[in-house]
Amino acid sequence: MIAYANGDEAAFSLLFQRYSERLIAFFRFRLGTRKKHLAEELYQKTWLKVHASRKSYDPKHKFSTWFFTIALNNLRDEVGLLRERFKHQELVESSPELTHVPQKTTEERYIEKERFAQIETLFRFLTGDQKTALLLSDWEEMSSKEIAEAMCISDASARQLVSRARRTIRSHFKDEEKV
Amino acid sequence: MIPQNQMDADIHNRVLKAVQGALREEKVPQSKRTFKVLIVATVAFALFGVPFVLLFGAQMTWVWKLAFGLWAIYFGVSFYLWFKPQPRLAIPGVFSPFVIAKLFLISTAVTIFQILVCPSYVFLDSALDWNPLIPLTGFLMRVGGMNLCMLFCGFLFSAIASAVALGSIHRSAKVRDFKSNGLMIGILSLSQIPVLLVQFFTDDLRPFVGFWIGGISFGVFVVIGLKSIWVRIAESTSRDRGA
Repeated sequence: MIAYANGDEAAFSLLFQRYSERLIAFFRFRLGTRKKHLAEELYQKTWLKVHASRKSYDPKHKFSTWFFTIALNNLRDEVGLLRERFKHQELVESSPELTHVPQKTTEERYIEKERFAQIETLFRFLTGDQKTALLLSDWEEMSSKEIAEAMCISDASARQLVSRARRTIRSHFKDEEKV
Repeated sequence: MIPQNQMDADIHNRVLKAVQGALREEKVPQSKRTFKVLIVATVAFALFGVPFVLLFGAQMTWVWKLAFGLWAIYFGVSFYLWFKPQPRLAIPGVFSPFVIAKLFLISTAVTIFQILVCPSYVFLDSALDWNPLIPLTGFLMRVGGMNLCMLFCGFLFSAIASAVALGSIHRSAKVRDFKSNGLMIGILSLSQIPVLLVQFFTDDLRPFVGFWIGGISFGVFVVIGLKSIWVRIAESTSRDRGA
């Protein structure tokens, strides 16, 4: 990220390779397939904002937290949800290691597609906050502290959101199995 | 992650190339960029200025020179914004410098071109005895006199300039919020200021300036209004399709 902030094209390409698909997946899960176009717009807007604010990135903070805070702020602006709670913060990140992302096989892609459909169905039962918290926790593997930082809520609230989201999904999953 | 289909690949490539392009543009020295802006703005200004001088040379009063000065500044500002290093992505509601430049440049160019085509709009006599709008002008003069003629011409000219300029940024203009519409109205109105000055400081035109302002305001607002309706229809259509 530091190299990208200083204008390194190759560093940006690596960063993009690592986060691009994750970002669009995040917006699609969060908004659902019915708002596919909105997800694509938010995806582009997020990269524009990342580019515009890259000089303000503080390496003391984790990159993914800073990155998803920008994504969440875009989402909040667009959807008009959580206006009071998500306040823009200058979050930044600890030395991000830009590693090469291996190409996926057709089989892996197929499994991901199946997984996406399953998760999307279950996500219908969650509130906006719960979706966001669960995505950051289970998809992005962020800690509750990082989720709290990105969503501008307390650590306890972040943990509660994740736990409630998992409980809701579990109960619906059990119901479906009974049926 | 999510499966990467063709649409995903397109959108990913578009963003990747746009940001990489911006990073490359940043490496160009400021002096080189300024020189490029000056050259391009001068050429663009000359393209409109030379025919103007050839056709109406003797009628160029101080206020016309002022208008020319403003147009030169407009071209300079537009090309400065255009060549500014930036990711060139057209996203609904995002007015990057290059989008603003396009809107401003096209509305200004169309306005100047309209005067070249119909100089009677600003009471100029062209060296060419050709004006395609003479039949319309004659009809308006017969029906409602000079007041109606100025009102309608203001409307027609600003509506055409606004429609062409908005058409050039149709992806970015695909929004209907108050802030974005206000920005677009502001830029489109700004391109009409030099003509307003000419109207106001020319004795023969001054009595009709109110009608002219009414006409251009109506033209800009009608185009922005129609655009908002179009966006609303597009939004509801895509919702119905589940997109």
